[in-house]
Amino acid sequence: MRLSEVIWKCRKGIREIDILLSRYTQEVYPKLSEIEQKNYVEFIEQDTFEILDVLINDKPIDAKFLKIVQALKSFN
Amino acid sequence: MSSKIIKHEHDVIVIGAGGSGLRATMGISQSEHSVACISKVFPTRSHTVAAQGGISGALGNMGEDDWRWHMYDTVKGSDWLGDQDSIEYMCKNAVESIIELEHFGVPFSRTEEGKIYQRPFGGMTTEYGKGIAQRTCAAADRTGHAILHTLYTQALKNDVDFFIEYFVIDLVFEENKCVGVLAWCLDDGSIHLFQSHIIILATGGHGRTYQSSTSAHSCTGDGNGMILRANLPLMDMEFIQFHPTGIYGAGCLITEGARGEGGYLTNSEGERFMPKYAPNAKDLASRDVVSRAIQMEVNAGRGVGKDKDHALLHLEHLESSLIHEKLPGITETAKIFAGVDATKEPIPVIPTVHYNMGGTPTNHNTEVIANGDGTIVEGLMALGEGACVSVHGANRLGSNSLLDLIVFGKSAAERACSILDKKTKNHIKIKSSTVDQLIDNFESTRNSSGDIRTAELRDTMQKTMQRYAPVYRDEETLKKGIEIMTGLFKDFKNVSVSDKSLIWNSDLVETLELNNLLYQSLATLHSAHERKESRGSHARDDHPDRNDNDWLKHTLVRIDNEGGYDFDYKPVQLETLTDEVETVKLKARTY
Ligand SMILES: Cc1cc2nc3c(=O)[nH]c(=O)nc-3n(C[C@H](O)[C@H](O)[C@H](O)COP(=O)(O)OP(=O)(O)OC[C@H]3O[C@@H](n4cnc5c(N)ncnc54)[C@H](O)[C@@H]3O)c2cc1C
Repeated sequence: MRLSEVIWKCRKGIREIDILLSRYTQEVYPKLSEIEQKNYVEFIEQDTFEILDVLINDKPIDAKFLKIVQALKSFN
Repeated sequence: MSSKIIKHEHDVIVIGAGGSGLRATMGISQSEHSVACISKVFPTRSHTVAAQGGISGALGNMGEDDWRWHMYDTVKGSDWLGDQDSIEYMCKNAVESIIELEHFGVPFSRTEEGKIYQRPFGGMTTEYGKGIAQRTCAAADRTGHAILHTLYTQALKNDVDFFIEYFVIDLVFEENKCVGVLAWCLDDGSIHLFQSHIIILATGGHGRTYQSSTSAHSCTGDGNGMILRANLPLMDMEFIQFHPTGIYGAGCLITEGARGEGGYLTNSEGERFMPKYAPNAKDLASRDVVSRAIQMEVNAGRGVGKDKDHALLHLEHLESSLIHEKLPGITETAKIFAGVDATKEPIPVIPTVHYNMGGTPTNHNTEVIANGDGTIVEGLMALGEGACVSVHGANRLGSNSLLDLIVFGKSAAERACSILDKKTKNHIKIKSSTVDQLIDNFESTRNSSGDIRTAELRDTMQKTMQRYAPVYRDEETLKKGIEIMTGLFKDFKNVSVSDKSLIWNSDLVETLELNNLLYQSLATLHSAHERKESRGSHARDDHPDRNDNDWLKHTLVRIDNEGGYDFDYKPVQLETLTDEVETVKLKARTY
C-alpha cells in the first residue's frame, strides 16, 4: 500500500492511536521490507479497540503482531 | 473539468457516519426515500468510537428519576444559554431513544435484575439538584464503539448507498436552496456531484483548531467550514469545554480518576498549587476550576518545562499496585505519550480542548438557520457535535453528547421524511457555472505552490489558539489572537501542496481540512472577543460575571473569504416546547 494511503488508514477515531500510528507510519513505514509493510497494514486495519487493547491495556498480543507492537510501544 | 464529474441523485444525503450521521441515515433508510451516506473515514472509525463514559437518560433503573430533572440539570449545566425547547425535546425523548438502541443491539451493561445499568455522572442530579442521579447508561467502557457498530450494521440491512473514504469539499446551492455536495473519492481520485432534496451535515466537532485537544485526527469540523464558505453563520463558537489534564504535547486524557485516587498537581517551584485556588476541594475541584488554576500558574511564570507552559501531575507517591488496579492504562499512556514512568515520575499536563458546544445553528427540528430571526435554509439540516441546536448552551454535561446524537439523529430522519412527503421528486437543475466555481476553488488549492507547508501553518494556528483563546480570556489577548489569526487565514493562499495527484493525496486532504480549521479558529476568536461576559465555559478575566441583561443571547458569526466578519444575535429560547414542563428560571449557577 502506498504511503499516503497508509497515512489515511491511521485515522482510527481515537487520538492516542491516531498520533502513534501516523508518526510511526511517516517515519518508519517507508523503511520496512515489503513483507513487514503488509504485516503492518494488516495490523492497523484491525478494529480500533483491538489496537488500543494491545498498545495501552496490556491485552495479549497475536504472535504475528508482536514485533510491531513492541516497536510502536518503544517508538515515541 | 465539470464534464468528468460523476453525478448521483438521492432524496437525502447524510454527510458523516459518526453516531449522529448513522442514526439519521438509519432512520431514513426505513422509509421509502432514498439515502446516501458519505464519510471520509470508515464509519466505525468516526470519533464517536472514542466515547467511553456513556449516554444519559432518565430511565430510572437505579432509583426514581424524571426527564424534568434531567432537563433542569442540562439547563443549569448550560448556564441558561441552552434553548429550553430543544432541551425539553432531548430529555423527554431520551428514554425511548435509548430503549431503541437496546433493541437495535447495543450491549448495555446490566444490573442484576437485567435492567440497563446506570452510573452517576458530573452535574446529573435528582429533584432539581437535591440528590445524585444515576442516569448514564454504558456498554462497559466502549459505549461509542458499541453504538457505532450497531447503527452501521442496522443501516447495512436497509437500502443505504454508502460512499466511504469520500471527502466532501463543499455544499452546492442553487436559488438559495442547498441542493447537493461536491465530493472527492480518495481512492480513485474521481470527483462527484451528489444531488438531493435534503442534505444533512453530521461532520463532528473541530477540536483540532487547538494544539492540545482530545480529538482524533479527523475532527476538523469540515461541515462548519462549508457553512462559513457558503456565507452562513456559526453559533456560540466561543464555548469550548476544556479538560484540565491532557498529556502535554499529545492531548491524550489522564482521567479525573487519577486525582480521585490521590494524584496532585505542582508548578515549576514544586508547589502544590490547587489549595490556593480551591481550599476545600483542592485537586478534586471541578474541571473549569482546575483548568483555570493551571493557566494562572503558567501566566504567573510558574509553568514547567522549557517553555514554562504546563504543570505536573504526580502519581508516583501512590502504591504502584493501586495505580495498576484503579487506573488501568494510565502508566502505558504516560509511558508512550509523555515518555515517563508514572510510578516514578510526574506526568506533564495541560488544559486540553475536549468538546465544542458551538457550531452550525439549527432549530429544534435540526433545520439549519441563516440568521438570528431563525430563517430556515431550505434543504439543509445539521446535527451532532458540529451543530448547535442548542442543548449544551455554554457548557455540556458529560454523557449528554451521545444523547444529542441519537435523539436528534432520529428526529432529523423523521423531519426529512415529512418534508419529502410533501415535495415533488424532481430535482432542480444545477447550473454548470455553480459547479465550476467550486471546482475552481478546489483546483486552486490543489495547485497551490507557495512557501508555507500545510503542517507548519496548522501548527502555528493551533499554537495561536492555545495561547490566545485559552480557558480564561481577556480583551488584550483576544485582540492579539484575532490579529495573528487573520494573518494566518490570509497565509492560506501561500500554502504549498507538494503532491498534485488525486489518488490518496493525504497532503491535499489535510490542506482542505486546514482551510476549514482556519475559518473556525477565526470564528472562535471573534466570538470570544464579542461576548463581554463570563458564562459556562467562556470565562473572561475582564468581565468576570454572567450578564443576563445584555448577553442572554446566542452569537452568530459569519466570516468572509478575506477573513472579515460580522455578527448577528438570536435570543435564547426560554419557553419550553409544551406545557408538560415549566421554564427553568434564571438563577446563579453554583454547585
Ligand atoms: C475522549 C472522548 C470521550 C468522550 N466520551 C463521551 C461520553 O462518554 N459520552 C458522551 O456523551 N460524549 C462523549 N464524548 C463526546 C462525543 O464522543 C462526541 O461529541 C460525538 O461522538 C460526536 O459525534 P458526531 O456524530 O457529531 O461526529 P463524529 O463521530 O466525529 O463523526 C463525524 C463524521 O463525519 C465524517 N466527516 C467529517 N468531515 C467530512 C468530510 N469533509 N467529508 C466526508 N465525511 C466527513 C467523518 O468521516 C465521520 O464519519 C467524548 C469525546 C472524547 C474526545
